[in-house]
Amino acid sequence: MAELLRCENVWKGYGGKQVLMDFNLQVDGGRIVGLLGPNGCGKTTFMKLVNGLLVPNQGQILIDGYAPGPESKARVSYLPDANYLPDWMKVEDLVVMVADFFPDFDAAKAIAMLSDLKISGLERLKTLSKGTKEKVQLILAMSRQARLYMLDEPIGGVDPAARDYILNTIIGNYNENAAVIISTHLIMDIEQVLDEAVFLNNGQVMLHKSVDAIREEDGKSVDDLFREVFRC
Amino acid sequence: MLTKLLKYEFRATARLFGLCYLGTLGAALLLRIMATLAWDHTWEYSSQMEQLFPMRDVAAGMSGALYAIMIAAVVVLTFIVILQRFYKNLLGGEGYLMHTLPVRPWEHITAKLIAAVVWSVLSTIVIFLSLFVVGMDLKLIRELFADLLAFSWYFQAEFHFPLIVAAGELIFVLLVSTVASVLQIYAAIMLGHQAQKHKIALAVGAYFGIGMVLNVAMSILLNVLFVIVEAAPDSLLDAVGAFLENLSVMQAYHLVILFMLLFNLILSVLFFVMTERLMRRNLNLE
Repeated sequence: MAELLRCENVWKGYGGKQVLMDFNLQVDGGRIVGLLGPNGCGKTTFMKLVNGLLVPNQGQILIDGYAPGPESKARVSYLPDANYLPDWMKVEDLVVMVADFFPDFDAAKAIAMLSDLKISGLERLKTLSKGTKEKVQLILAMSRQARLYMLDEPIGGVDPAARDYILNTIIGNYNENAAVIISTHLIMDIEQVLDEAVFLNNGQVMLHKSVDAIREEDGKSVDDLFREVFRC
Repeated sequence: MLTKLLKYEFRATARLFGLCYLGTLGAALLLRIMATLAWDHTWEYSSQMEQLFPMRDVAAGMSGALYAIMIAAVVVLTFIVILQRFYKNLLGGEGYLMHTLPVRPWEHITAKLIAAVVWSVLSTIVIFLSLFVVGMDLKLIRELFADLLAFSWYFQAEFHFPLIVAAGELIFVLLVSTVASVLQIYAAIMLGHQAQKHKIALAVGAYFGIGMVLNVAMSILLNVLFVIVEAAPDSLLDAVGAFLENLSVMQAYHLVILFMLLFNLILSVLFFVMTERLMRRNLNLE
């Protein structure tokens, strides 16, 4: 299985606070990885570093062999945990725009998903509810044939029915050459789709195991193990 | 990728500018009509108008105020859009989208810069055009062109150089200085972005800081020049003096244009490199 992401000794801090400390992680193709950890442990910072929205203070990040830049961005499909789309645009304009910049974007797939979730392409983003906006962002991210999907809190703001649809989309998108990294607090909801779990604490990877190994060796679900490890 | 960025850049800004330009030209036309109605004092016509439209002086005054507001709006809008499109679209929330596109920082900066310069030029043209709408009639335009033509003949005869080329040189320098001014704003915003807090205040500070540094650099340069002049042998000074004295008016004009062009080009390159470096190596979106 080809290695798709390698983070080596990555350090990142801002405002006098270290967020990632000697962060190391490797993700191979064909895997769905859950990035799990308490608030403020560095999940979003890690995602932003891989996507070139932040620059590390130290260390190396390689995506399919490329440092963050145009080549890596063409291979990564990123769903930020933020409302990032221009408000004044219509949903269909956005589809056209993303298709214009990413050759791997499947517009037909995006349109089908929009109609499945009953979102009109003619609506402007500012008229959509928060949850619907998140669905649009997710659809845009999942309609690409990327090598690496990075989904930051993809199901946090949507209703349970849409959650199922989204998880099915993620599984349905599975292919040997691509990897998916999902960060979330809602472990129970995504546990069924995960191949691997990464526990993050204080800016470091404290555990990186396959879900099967957690079940066999620890005799626990990922959710139970998380609660045990991060007991307050 | 640059052409794609430009396409979306213009699409994002065209509607706002289009409306504002139409509004300005509309206000100019309204003022023209109202002023004509108010100040046409042919006796018979005037008394008829008095009955039909008693408030016409007030209407003319109000459309004058509206026109002034629209002119101010064009200037302010151009300035705000130049700031906003860079700050909000590249360093605010929308930056998440823009910086995950497979595009290099120089392409982002260039797309913003081209749009900013194009809108600045169009805004200037629209303001001039609206002045024509308010004040010009066909007779006046004909006279103006006749005068202009006469002047260009005179210019050619006097300086042995076409007026249109001389004017073109000046316009080109103005364009390059617009580029430098826009890039100074971008560089200042990127400098302000380096801070954790108070990014906008620091960007404003950086803008004036850059101006101050340039002033200091210029005065140092002038001082160095003075020192060189003092130390230079008389023969060299005489030669330079003779060269300057023998310049024709047009040659002096070209020399000044060339200096201004070089100055603004150097500034543009400096600000562009600064902005690009900061965006490539120190981008930190919150």
